[in-house]
Amino acid sequence: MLKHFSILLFAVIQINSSFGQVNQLKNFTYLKASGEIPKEFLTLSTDKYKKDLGANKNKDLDKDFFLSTRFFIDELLLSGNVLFNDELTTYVNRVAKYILRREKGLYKELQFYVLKSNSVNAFSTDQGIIFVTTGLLAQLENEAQLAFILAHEVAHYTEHHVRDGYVETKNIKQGKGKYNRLSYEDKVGELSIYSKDNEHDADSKGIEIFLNSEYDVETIFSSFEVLLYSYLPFEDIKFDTLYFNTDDLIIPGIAFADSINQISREEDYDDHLSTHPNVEKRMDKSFDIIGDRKTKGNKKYIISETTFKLIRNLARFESVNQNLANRQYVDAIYSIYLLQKKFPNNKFLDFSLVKSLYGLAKYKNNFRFNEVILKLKDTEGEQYSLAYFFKKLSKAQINVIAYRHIYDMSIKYSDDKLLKKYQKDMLKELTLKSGIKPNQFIAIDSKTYNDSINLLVSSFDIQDSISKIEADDNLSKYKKIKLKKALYKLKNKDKFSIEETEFHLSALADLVQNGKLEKGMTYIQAENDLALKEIDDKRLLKKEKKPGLNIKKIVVVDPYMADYNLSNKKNNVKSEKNKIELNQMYLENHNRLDLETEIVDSKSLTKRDVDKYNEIGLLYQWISEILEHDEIEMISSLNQDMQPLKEKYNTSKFLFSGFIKYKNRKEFSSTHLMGIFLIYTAPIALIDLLIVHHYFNTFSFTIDSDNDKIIYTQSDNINLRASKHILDAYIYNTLYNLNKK
Amino acid sequence: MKYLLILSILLPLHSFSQSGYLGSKTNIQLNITNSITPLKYKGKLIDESNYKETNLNLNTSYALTVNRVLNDNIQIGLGYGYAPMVLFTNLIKVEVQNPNNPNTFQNTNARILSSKRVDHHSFIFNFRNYKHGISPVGKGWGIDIAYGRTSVNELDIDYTTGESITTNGIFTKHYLIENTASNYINSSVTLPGNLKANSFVIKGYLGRTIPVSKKIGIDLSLSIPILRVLMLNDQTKIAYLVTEKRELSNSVFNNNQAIAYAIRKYNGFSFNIGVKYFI
Repeated sequence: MLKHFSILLFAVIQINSSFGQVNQLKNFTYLKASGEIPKEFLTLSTDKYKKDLGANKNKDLDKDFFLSTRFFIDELLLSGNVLFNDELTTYVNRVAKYILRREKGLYKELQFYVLKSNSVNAFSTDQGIIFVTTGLLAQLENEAQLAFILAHEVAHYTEHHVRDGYVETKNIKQGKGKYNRLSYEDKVGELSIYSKDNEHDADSKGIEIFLNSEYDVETIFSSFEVLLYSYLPFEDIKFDTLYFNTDDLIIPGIAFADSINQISREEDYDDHLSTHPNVEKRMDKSFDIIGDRKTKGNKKYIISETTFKLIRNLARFESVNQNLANRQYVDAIYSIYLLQKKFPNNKFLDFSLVKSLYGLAKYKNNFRFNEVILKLKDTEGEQYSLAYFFKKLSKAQINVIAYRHIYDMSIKYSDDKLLKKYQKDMLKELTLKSGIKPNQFIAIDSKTYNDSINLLVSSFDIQDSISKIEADDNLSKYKKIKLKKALYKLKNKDKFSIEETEFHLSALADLVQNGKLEKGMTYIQAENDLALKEIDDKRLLKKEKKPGLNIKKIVVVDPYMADYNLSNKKNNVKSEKNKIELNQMYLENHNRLDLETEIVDSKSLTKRDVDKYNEIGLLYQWISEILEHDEIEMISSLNQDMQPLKEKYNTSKFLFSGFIKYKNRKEFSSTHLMGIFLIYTAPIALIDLLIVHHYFNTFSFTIDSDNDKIIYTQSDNINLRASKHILDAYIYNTLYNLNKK
Repeated sequence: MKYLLILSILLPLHSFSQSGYLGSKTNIQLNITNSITPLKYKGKLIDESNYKETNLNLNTSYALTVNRVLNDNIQIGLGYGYAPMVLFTNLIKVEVQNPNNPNTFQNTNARILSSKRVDHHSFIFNFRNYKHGISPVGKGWGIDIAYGRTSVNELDIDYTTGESITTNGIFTKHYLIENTASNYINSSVTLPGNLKANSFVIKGYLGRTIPVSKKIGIDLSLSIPILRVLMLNDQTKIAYLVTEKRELSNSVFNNNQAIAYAIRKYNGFSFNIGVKYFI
């Protein structure tokens, strides 16, 4: 009885936790940091550098170490992609606290954060910051694996691997001591060996930490396996060939590959130039270190299995966001497919599928499909089938599949304005770029159409038809050959490639029947014709004068400033100081303009600015996606996430800009030689050679979050000293151009 | 008055105007122009002592212009220029009493001690093309067109046939090779006036305006003469054909020549420094 009750209770808990997760993930958009921003994020990099350099007692560590590490890590911290005080970081911290429960002092020295990235990784800094990526969390099988990875990273910190690695790398590069007179290849080899030794050391010390826990010791080995296959999606499940099918859209089975590329990576892969030893070596060494020892238990979960699964699902959902922003549409669809098995009818996943199909159609129509789809030979596992499918589809087929799904989603979420935008734009693609005319679509559904074709094919007598063709005197020899070939092909329909099938023509049968498709396509065609005519008319009338943008409010996003010295090395301290001054210029510089500016800046955050911090991450991801699309005008995958920012700042216009200062001395050229020979120009030639020439690059572009279009761009390479007043002039000029009517 | 009329036409060109420097589309510039005429002269003084002079002569003139930005690169301006011209700056030939025989006269070299300055007024139009799209600051090239007028009534010139002081400066050196002169004559002569000269000058501009505050900019530039046409009382000359006439004379022709040469000097290759006030 008790046993039955326990089983029932367990089942209820499982159902409840799954249901809870479904609810929690129902309104997923993207992962955000929350609460107060940690002090580490708010301290200027220059202050950290000066403080740590001052306190440094290791003579081998020079100021370059502190300069490079402090500024690099801060760039990451202020990217907006590091999570803190959220569910993921809180969970990681709980696991870390548990494994370091006997070393409370050490735990207090450390900070654990989750980094939004699909790269499967964890790393630690010499300052005691340990990052775990969402990509890693999405791949883990259990909490114990996370605990071991954290223990490994803690060991990197306690053993000073970052600091020692810096010194050793410098010695190897400079050929000091035992590295004297090594060839370049040998130096690379030495670096790799040193790095691998550190990894073994971290494994060894990490195991010691881990053995003090109640986690199952076997999970150490399974952690290595997770890393081995981390280049694959988080699960490897056969893709359902019926996944895209709807009532009207029936995709023939031949569209999908019969076989897949098998997973190739083995445990003893070649690691001779890698920073990490291969998994086989790590497992062997770990096996030796562990010996007969056991942990204090054999648990896979100590904090919470439910929380682990929620955290993993959140990371998996985020991986779809990352895929979309990185234009990895096929990867996104495969992840959506996997997640929809557990979370059917999830709005985020439905929308993400729309975005993925839309992205594929857009890139196909703009002849840039290869940018967003991996080479088939590089795709392994079950995802191969999906990659093969999209690779083989024609432009018209992709457009129809995308439109079919986007249309269906716009019906499912009929109140959603964004989906209406996608639907309208996809209909435009279908009309103007797919190459299909409205009258080519068939009013019967794919199944009926395919059945009728099959019936026709199976019932007709090919020999009879061939005889008739041969007997027809009106046909030329060439025409007869073509017709006969087509007949044989029709008879052997299995040998058709998916591109030659016409399943897509009946995929919108319902819309053909109710006339919506033809009406919509005709309207778009007419609208396009009118727009083209207007352009022609304007050209004829020479109405060249463009109206100004007339922007009344703009959000300046984290202005960029870099200052390079004569040896072409970035002066981080100066760059940070100049950046802070630059921010002020954007705010002060528009007294004479009818333009309000607001700034979202990473260097002026206070501990309560967590919303701004999240906005920085979102804005950077948004801009990089739009820049990747380049000339393809398309709705960004982050369009709906940008809408709250539009409402908050009361403008849809965001300005990204920056300056890169550099200087050099001119090299002696034939012009200088001529100048020196002509006695009067000799001083000029000499001065030109001796003085330091100052330059700077300036760039700015403005994006409208309503349509994700770049509405203003400007970039220049200027041969001037970038004084405060010159920068002021450029900033004013940019703001003026945005504001003018 | 006619300048103001032209300015009033120029300034309302709002429809073509761009941002200007921090929104200042108009600026006023005060310019100091230093044209250089390097001189090297060797000669004998009246007592037969050798005289040598090198002189990097700076001929300073001033201009005040009102400028207007037309677009991101172009600025045009109108203004007034003034040059207090010095006609003779070094040795001249004079006819003086022979110290050995006071009844006779002889031609000898004399050095100018001082002379009244001749006022040269001009109307200036300038055009600037700034390289970096933030006119009116940054590097640029341009054209200056100036129409000038000079009129002289009478002119007093003091000179000496001897040299008692040896000076050495960075730009100026004059000294006696053999200082045996014992009878120097310091004299003065008044030249007859009623001279008029007009000039039309086109100069090329290469320079940069460095903003030093939100209101002030410093303009550093070089000017290169392209065309200098001189209209003397009854004749027109191209400046390159005018040479210095180192001879004091009562002849109008020779004085004309001196004025012509002075205008040439003041509109020669020059380096300029200006202060711009952004309105």
